[in-house]
Amino acid sequence: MGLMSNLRVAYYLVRREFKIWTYYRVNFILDIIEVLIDLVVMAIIALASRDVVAPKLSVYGGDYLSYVVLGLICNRILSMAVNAPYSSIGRAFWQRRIELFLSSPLNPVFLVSALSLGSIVRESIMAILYLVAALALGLRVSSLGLTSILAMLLGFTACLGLGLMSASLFYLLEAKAGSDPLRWIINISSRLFSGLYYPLEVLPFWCRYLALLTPHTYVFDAVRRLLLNGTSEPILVVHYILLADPVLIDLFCLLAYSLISVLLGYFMTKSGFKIALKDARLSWWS
Amino acid sequence: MLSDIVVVENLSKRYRKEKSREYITALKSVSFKVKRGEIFAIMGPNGAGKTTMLKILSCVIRPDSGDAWVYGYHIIRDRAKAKSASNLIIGGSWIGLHYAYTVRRNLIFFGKLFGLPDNVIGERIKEAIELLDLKDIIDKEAIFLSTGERHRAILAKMLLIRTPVLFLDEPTRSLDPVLANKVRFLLSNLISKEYGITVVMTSHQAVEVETIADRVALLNKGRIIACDTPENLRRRINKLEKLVVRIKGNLRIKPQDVEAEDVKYSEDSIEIICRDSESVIPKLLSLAKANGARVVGIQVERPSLEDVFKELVGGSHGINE
Amino acid sequence: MDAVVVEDVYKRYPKYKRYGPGTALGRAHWVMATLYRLKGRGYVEALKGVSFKVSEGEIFCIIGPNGAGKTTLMKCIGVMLIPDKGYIEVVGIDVVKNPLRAKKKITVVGSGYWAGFDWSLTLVENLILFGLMYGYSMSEARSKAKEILDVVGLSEKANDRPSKLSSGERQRLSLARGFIAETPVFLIDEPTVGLDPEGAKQVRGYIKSEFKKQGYTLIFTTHFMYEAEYLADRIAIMDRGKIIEIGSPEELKLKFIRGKVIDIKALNVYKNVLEKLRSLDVINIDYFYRFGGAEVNLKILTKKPYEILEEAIDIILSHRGSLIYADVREPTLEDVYRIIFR
Repeated sequence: MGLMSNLRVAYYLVRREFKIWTYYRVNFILDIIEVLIDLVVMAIIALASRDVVAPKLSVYGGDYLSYVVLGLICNRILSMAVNAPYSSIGRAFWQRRIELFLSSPLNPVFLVSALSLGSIVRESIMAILYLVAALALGLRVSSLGLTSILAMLLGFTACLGLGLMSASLFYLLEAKAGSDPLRWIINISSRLFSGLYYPLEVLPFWCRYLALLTPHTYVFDAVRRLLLNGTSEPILVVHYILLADPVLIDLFCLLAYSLISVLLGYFMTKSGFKIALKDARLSWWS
Repeated sequence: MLSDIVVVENLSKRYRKEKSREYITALKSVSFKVKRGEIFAIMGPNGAGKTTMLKILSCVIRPDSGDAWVYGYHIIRDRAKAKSASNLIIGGSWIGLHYAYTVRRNLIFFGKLFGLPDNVIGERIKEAIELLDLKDIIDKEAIFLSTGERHRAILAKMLLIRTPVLFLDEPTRSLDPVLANKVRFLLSNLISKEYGITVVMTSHQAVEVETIADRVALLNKGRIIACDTPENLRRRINKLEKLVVRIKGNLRIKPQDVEAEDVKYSEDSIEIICRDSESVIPKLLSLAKANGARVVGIQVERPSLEDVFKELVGGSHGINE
Repeated sequence: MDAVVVEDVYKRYPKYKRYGPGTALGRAHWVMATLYRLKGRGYVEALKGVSFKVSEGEIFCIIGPNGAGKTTLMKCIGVMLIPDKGYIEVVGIDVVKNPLRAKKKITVVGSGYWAGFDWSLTLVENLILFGLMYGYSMSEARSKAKEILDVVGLSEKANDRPSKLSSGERQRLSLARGFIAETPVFLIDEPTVGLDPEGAKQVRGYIKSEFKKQGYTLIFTTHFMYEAEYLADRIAIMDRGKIIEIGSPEELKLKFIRGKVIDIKALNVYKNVLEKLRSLDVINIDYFYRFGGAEVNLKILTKKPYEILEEAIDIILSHRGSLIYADVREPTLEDVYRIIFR
């Protein structure tokens, strides 16, 4: 199947996602409003806790609001990359579209990616909206880091790999009930140990080892250091081990993570489908 | 004692079209009565309103206007009682079976839901296993059943729960001929005759209806076109039927003797043109007996129930809307 | 040239237990499933050595009881399932080695609700998606979609969603998927299940004319024996994972029935009469009661129809029953089926 035709199908599937999202107009508008409400809540918390938290944030520039908002923006995209593959396969299965795709000459790995693309694009748009609203609300960014975009992209790829791995578990482990073990671990870990809402210094030191599990940690660290006048103090464990600029270390780790997770994701998805093909749990037709 | 178990009077229901102000009429002033112990069939093209009718009668949806009584209870005013007097089974689908439970657990669950005591449930499950050949699948999880096994499991509910009224939506859909036959047998000989349960079923198969239904209602575009026994419906359309009879012995009959239109003799058979073969045959047989002749072969050509319906609906079906 | 070749195909499914969803074990079903799969707790043999060939342009039907393995076989040929052993070839392509290439040549239509289209897209969009999936460009797909909608007669409903179509129209939409891709092989599971008689007739007529015209190869399963007779060039009868008979409808009828069927309707026929009738020299008797037992419908399958009819009339009349209908007719494929699977 040629690349062009694959791309066309992907485009069509993304378009479909958008049609469905905007079909229920009220819901669509509520989705957008939610972004603003989120921001307002964070702003209030930031205002309230500014004096207490600021000293601990010296590495990242000291402003809690910016700290958190940047984290949230990145988190949206990263979370979506982790969750999208599994949930799109899940939706295709439960909405009985899965047969349509499986009986057509589409490569399974491509299929999973194409189905997730819609949600990913949607979340990216929401993230940009978020960013714009945050800038309007007073987010202070010191420099326009292209490097930070690189960090985001690497993190995104790493998370996509994780997403593929978790999607493959849909078939490999028959985890159809809505949650699979991999995503569960990543989601919890990213909420607790990645430094999303609070800096890692607040937690006991051993948590910094657990922080290394998720790509989120590296992305948050790098982006915050780059965009908010941050210092070069080591925070993560890897920063202590490898002696170089923390941002470079972050990028390097993200690269390694991406390679591993994407490769693993690719092979696990392929074998997940193969196993499903052998066991006939691929679809509803029986 | 209540003789009309299901009474429907001027029932109407319409659905609103998606994102528009137009309405689709599902049922328009439908009325009929079903007697106790009867097997009542509802036939008609898809979209005629059959499923809507069943849903209203089993109190799943409300009509817009009109009344209906199931087992003497009004479907709106006494909804709880009307609902518990009936059991709805939809053939050929996933509905009615919890996908994660085994068949046995499913049946126990439904038995308890309908208030049956445990020992009764146990006995009836044993019976159902025998009658529907469920031995291999009774402890299988529903999600692992093949199509036919699933249908048998769903139909097992029919044997388990013996409410006075049974509503069936295409019970033999997707069943292979042997199993379909079994189900028809169970319906006519066991459920209706022995248990005395009143059955209202929809069907697409003329043969099925003619074999087991006492009366049939023809629904088209939300209206009842006809409601009578299959025999009476056939008589209504006034099409001629042809009998070719082989007789051993000598028999000369005149058309009026057997209520026929015309009688033709040929070498080894008699051809009889009539309006209703079912009134001709008994007369023919007694005439033959009286004259010492024996009837050894009968072949009938008459319109099928489908042809009857086509006539009654008039011209092109106008279905597949 | 053979469009489909199936050689010695075996397929078995592992059996594994599933715990109730409310329990902790149920939520961790995936753990159990993996463990059982590793342990191999017994298997269900779905296909036990199936072999046959279907020539190009042939309409081939597979019938058999539920659970015989028909759907499994269809899925294997349609590359939605990998057999354990054996070889399957579709228009010369090995389906196991080249699944994606094979899928390009096959349209699979599952039964009933999951007929293989996207419910949230309109008909036109569905067809365009099908076209794109099979390799057309956007503009090609658009024009083909319009063309095919005409061919299947659904152009007025082009901008409606599948949920608004009647079931007959949905079936035609699923067929359209194959038409737009011009796949040479179609696999359809129960083409007219759930359709009303008129709709079923339309679909059948459509299949019979269009498929022969285009020279497509069709393999379908059905439970309607008259449908098998009407559409199929050859029929395969499956039971418990094996094909037990293959032949044209005529060949099968000749082989299995050398007799006829007597339909009888009589009143006041009770158990003793039925017993007597059963003891006659018949292959099979089915009986159904109507009107609470007042009327009985008999279907007697016998090699000596005229003798048996005579005797049946005697028995019924002598026991004060009355015969109101009798018809001696040719057996249909359904009667063949009933004999085989009695």
